[in-house]
Amino acid sequence: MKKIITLTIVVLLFVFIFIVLLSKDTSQEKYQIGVLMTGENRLVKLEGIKDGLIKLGYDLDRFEFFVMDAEDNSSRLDDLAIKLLQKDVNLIVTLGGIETRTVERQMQQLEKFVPVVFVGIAASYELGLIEQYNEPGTYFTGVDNYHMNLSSKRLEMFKELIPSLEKVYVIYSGGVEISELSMQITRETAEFFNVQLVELDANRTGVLKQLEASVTEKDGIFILPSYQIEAMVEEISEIALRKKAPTMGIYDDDIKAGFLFSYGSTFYDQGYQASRHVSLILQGNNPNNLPVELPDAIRFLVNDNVRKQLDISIKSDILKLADVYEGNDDR
Amino acid sequence: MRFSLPTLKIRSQVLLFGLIMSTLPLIVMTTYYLLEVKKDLEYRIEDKQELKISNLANQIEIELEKTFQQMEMLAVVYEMDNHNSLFYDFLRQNKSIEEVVIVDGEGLISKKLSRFELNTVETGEQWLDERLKQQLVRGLRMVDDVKFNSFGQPVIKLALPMIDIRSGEYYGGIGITLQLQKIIGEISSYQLNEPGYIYLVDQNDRIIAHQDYARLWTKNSTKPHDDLISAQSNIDDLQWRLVLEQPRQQLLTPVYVMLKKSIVVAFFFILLISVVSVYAGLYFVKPIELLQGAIMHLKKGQWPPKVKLSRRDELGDLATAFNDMSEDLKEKSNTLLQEKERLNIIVNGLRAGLAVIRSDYTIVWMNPTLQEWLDTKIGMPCYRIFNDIGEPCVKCPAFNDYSEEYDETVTSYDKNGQKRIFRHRVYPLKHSYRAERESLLLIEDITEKKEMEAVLTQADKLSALGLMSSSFAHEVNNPLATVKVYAEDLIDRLEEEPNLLKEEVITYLQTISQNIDRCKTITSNLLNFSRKSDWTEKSVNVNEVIENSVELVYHTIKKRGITLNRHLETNFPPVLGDSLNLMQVIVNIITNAADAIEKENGEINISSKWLKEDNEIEINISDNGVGIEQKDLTRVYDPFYTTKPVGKGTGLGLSVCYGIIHQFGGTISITSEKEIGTTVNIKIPAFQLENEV
Repeated sequence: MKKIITLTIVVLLFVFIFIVLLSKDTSQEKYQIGVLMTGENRLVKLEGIKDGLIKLGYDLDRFEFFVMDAEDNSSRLDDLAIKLLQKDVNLIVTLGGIETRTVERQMQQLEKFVPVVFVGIAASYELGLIEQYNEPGTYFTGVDNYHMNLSSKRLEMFKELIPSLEKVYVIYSGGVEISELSMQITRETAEFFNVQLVELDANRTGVLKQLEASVTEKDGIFILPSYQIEAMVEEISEIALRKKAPTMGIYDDDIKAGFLFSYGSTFYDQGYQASRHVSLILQGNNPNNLPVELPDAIRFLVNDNVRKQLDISIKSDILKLADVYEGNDDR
Repeated sequence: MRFSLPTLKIRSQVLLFGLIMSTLPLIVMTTYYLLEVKKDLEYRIEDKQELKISNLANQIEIELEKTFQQMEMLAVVYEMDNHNSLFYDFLRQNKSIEEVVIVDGEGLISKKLSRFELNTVETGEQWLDERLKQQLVRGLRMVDDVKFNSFGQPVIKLALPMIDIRSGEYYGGIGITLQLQKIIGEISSYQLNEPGYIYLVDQNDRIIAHQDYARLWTKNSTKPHDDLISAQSNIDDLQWRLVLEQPRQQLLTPVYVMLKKSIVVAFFFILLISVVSVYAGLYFVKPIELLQGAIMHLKKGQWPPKVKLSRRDELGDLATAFNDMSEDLKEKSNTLLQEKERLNIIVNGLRAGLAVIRSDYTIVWMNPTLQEWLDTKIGMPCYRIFNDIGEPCVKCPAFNDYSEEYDETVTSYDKNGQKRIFRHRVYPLKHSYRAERESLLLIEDITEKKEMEAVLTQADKLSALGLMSSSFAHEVNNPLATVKVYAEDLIDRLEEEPNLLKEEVITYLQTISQNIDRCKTITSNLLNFSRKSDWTEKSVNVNEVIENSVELVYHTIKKRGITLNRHLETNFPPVLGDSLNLMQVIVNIITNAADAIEKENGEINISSKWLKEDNEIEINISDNGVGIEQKDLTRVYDPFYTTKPVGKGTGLGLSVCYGIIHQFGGTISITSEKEIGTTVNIKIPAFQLENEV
């Protein structure tokens, strides 16, 4: 009898283990996503990605994000990129141009290639990251924020909004490719519209003092894409407010910092849009087949508080395109 | 043709039955349930696919329709107010619109507001080709093919004709360039959670959105296939189709996984129930096997160990009962062995022959004594022992329905040729071997007994003769005296009267002759009585025997002044036996009666009659003597028991009487009352009448 009882217990134990193993859903293994970013301000792009993935039907519990934050110290990016490449991730998400370039460089050096989804770089094609927009042909794909080409449109809008502008102070980053390319496009547009430009290199010492010293309320301040300039927008907006000069920025963060206008794709929108690329790669697509997309949405924002402070005359037609920012942090 | 299951042990039968009854219903139910669930789930999955694709298509269609409606409104308002504000507002509301244009009747751009590009319109910039322009001219909505813009982004141009309100004539149109990347991207990257593809096919059957980007912008070559579960929904305005295709096998994987799990769970329960069944089966079978083992021990003649079952149910009771029974059987077996041993000693040492016969009268067993006496063998018919005629004995009760006890005395010869007397009895056995009828033969060698009985009888006779001798002498003396007197008188007369008449002489001689005859009768009777004879069975006239007996004792009775009365019926059948022996009985009893009469006016009554109902002859001899004490009545047949004074009796009389009457097949009984008298009753089976019957 003891033998039978022992045998029964052993059989039941085996069956129980078998059922437990069978019940374990092996198809639910987590996706490993590496994230590289220069600073915390770009974290909102990651939020956009996560929200986008949820919208696409994913369960975020199935994702594991390895976030590498350089904490606004771009010199750390290389090490962080190496760490990410050493991890066995499904793909790497780069939250800006400089991050993308760093990963590209380190992949070449380590000869380890992982699909990369860039989120909001301004000139992917011009920088040589992709061969063409609809078929990138490389390990890179993602959302090109079009901000380089959009510089032309932004200047046109700035002039249309405030026709009385006599001079526009353009702040760019010398040595930053995207910024310089944007500067070039801006020059051409200014020439087309006969707008006088004053070019200020953000890398130059005392550029903000120079700006404050020379800008007047009849002038406008216009910034170009650059992670360096992104870090200066608050100081620029303070100068503009002191000088009662209208400002044209790119991101919603610029508006929050005190700019009068911004026209561009927001970090959140870029991330939200890039979630599609993440999804497609996770579904087995090769990044070289996945078209690089322009932003789904270009937002025109007007800071109503600043407009009131400047007491400036703005053409009303084009304001119909704008979303008015009244100090609420509402996307 | 009959099908028969192989014989299985009860353990196998119980286990098999348990397994079948516990698993078969579960298997059937599970199979039925799983098949139904599978069918239902397939249907639900297909339904879900159609719903999903239909929702996606509806979203696109609704968005498109909304855009067209806004464009229609814009076209109407534009006639009245051509400010840019309306266009900017339109752009703000529709983030996917890249640009909005107003074209003239020739399809050239007259106004443009772009989201990405400068609003500058080049001279003669064509927006519509001739084919599309003709659609507008016909007042139709215009939908262009999907194309790529300068950045490689898929876009589509949509336009509505603008009709002059007053003239009703076409004068241009309002058009938009719509970015498709969002629609394409959302469709392509839609997480299905299951294997398969969702894709969008344009009016040219070209795939414009696909989750497999390698198939993007290729011709749709997917054909309906049984291996695919396909659902599609049309977007009528664009003449696009949204298609969802999923491999049936993979799509049903969750169903199969669920089925597999269900099967495993069912298997688990089947296994569990089977184990319980096996356990229960063994629980019930184990005691039976233990009992069977113990019984097999018993069958082999071994005493099994105690069946240990600590259960309180019927099986526990059965085991306890078996143990008790086994113990009891063991005790009884031992007792039987002991008794058998004793019996063997008795049977083998018994001076009697024993044999068991079957219904065909063959001897199946006998004891050594019988074999020793009569050279009997196992297997020979029993009637061969004494009977050479080759047939069973006439009244043998062994296998006939004779109710009477068979008790025959047979004279035969032993192995040494010695004449022997055997008492032969047969007893039918109630409990016999394998329901065969059997009987027991009991054969006793009574030669010595018979001889002893003869000696006793003779002794008794001699004793009676001794007692009667004075009477006999006196009886003989009287006629002899008469003879002497007549003879002397005749001599005297012949001497005195030489011429004595012949007649007178004859008279003298006749008297002498008569007295001599009387003496002769007396002596003949005496001789006859005293003769030592073997038992000779003949037809015996009871009354005659009584008369002869009375003759013997008459003088004695007469001398004592006892009156002897005879009441003898006539015309009744004889009995079978030896008359001399019967006479000895009557003489003994009359003598005893006479001895018992001590008073005057003694009286002895002898009667005989035929009891027709019982077919017996009854003899009653009664006296009015002193009677017998009740305490002595039970001992009167004991040999050498007597209450008479020494010299008057041997104590053998009634014992011999009892033996003789028994030999006649009759009975003898005595009733007596102190100081009143004694009556002896003898009943002997009648012979002749029965034969006649």
